[in-house]
Amino acid sequence: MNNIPGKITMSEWSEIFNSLPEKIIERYCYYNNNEWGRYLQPPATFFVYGARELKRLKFDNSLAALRMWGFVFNESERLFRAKQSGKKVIATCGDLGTVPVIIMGFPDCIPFYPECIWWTPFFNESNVLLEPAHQLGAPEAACFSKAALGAFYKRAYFPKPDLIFASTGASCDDYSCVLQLIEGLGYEIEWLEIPYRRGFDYPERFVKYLTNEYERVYKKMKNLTNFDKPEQLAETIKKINRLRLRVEEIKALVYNADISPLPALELMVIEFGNLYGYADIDEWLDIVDMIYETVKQRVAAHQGVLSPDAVPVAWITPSADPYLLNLIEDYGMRVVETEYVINQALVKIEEAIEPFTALAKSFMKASLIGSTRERIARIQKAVAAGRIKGIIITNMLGASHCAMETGLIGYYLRDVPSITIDVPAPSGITEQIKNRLMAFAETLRQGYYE
Amino acid sequence: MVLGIDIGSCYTKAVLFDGQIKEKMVIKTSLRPVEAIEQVKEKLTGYKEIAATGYGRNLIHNAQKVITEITAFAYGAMYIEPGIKTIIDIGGQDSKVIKLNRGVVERFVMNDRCAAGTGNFIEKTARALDLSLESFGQLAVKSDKPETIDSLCVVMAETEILSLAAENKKLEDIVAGLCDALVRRIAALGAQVKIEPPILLCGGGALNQGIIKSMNRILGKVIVPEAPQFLGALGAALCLNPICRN
Repeated sequence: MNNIPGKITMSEWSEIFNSLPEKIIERYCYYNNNEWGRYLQPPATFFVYGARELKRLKFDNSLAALRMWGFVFNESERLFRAKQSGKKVIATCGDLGTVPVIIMGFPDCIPFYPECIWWTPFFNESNVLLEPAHQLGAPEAACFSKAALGAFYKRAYFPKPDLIFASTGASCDDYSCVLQLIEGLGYEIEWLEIPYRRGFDYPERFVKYLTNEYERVYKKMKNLTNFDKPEQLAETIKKINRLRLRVEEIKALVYNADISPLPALELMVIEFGNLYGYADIDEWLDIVDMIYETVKQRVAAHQGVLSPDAVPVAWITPSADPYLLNLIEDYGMRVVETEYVINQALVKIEEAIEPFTALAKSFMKASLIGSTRERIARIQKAVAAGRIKGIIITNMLGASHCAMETGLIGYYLRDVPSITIDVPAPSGITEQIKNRLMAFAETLRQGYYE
Repeated sequence: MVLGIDIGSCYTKAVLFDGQIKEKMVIKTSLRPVEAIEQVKEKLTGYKEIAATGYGRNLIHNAQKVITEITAFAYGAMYIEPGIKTIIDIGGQDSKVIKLNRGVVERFVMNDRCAAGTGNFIEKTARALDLSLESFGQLAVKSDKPETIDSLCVVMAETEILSLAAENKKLEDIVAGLCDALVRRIAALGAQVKIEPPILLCGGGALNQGIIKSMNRILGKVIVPEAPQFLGALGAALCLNPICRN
């Protein structure tokens, strides 16, 4: 392995992988099963299986990153293996990080997010999931989360779930509609409702309501598994907190380092892992620990993957198309703060109180269920502290929160240069978008060195 | 001496610069930017370095410096009139409003997804009226009472033109109304960055007298440089200047 940090292409990864000793490949297994659980594979493997978009991306060249990508892309295989080996596979939709904690408290139960394939279309050939979704009634203008409809219909990306939990209320309207179409395919869905927060000081009854909803999830799981040990939930919360703390440490190291020690793309994948550990929380924790060590070593050695003069920016709303994260780094920017709509999955869950209440209180911090002003409060602080020189806002056409929020976000953050990118359909990053991003980078650079 | 090239979607513009513009040329890009670049290099000689801008900028492989039009326009504007606070560029494919603060780009907005507010809008509507671009501008200037054309979409504007023609409205008033529609679109775009005078108008659209008249009426007096379509190429050349580099 090359010890000098950098970004490499899919083909370069294959060359490095070929030189890896077998004992390293054997070392990493999902579900702790060395017989069929190996997942260390170069991104080219997944390219062959249809993730065509990987070809245009650049990746971090550390072993930890290779392990992470192998694990993340192996999720489909992992879910089918889980089912084959007698585990229960539970779909959790639209909830963003809390229902999986309850599910992980049950033995041999694997939570997963069908909507995490919201970004599958950006890695796979674009029409594989979106076209069937359109044919099944999802409007062409709807959010890319409609890819989940195509995935349920094709039954190709995950096995039939033993249970499906779906959120409605203060969740993505488009996704709730998509889930109703999924229900129309014959899938039974257990709905739970998330209340809107309406402000920093929300009524206590909201927590009570959500606590009841989570207790209902628990009962459903209890009926499915005949397992009933609520105290196990407290243990799971501790494990989840360990993950969340570690991710916070990685982010702090990356954001504050003189030279960025990890690309924004890898960091986004790490953040999203907080939602459910990519369907194997123990292995994911180990991967995150390994990434943490890699980042720590790089910071100590003053080494990184970007130029030391990269201009610090914040990113609001996930990029959807991962290529955008590569692009902005190519143009001389680095991401030092994010608001990817999953902030509630990044903070510690209280351990000293009743677990369901703790989960409800944790979720009520979700940025997405409050006002726009609350959503960008942390970014505003970072701007005021001089840590951020520009803001990139991605607007996903059709996503209900984006339609209302994107303009407001730009307005509230008007004191700092910002750019809004309407994320086009997969492979749709045009020269115009590149041109605007490059011009934005030039503009920030001029201001940065003023 | 340096060569600044601006490879736009419709035209490729180039200047030879040595403290001042020595020579300049413009040719159609015509979807063949590489050929256009070769023609420029054949015609304009004697340069030591090349700087490129415009949508085709990355096609010049031996360029010493490659910058976006946003930065290039800012450099060019500062050379022409150092006090400029807003640049409005009406290009063939897009339009831009660039806000400057002491010569540095502070904010910019671009309309690059729709023909409304771009030179394309004028080209398409001129074609619908069977007018050359030159006569389009000359006619618009004659109007004292521009018609109101609400449609910003070029397709819908064509329908509106037909309706106005059917009502026997004066052609110069229809044409001036089209110029107003384009300028209103740019004004709405520019509101995001707050257009402030002095305003410099550049790009191919700045060659159209009708647009200039509408600009002056709707946005206030605009400054039009002698060769507005060369501002990007000039700015690219200037970015190789040691003063700009620093």
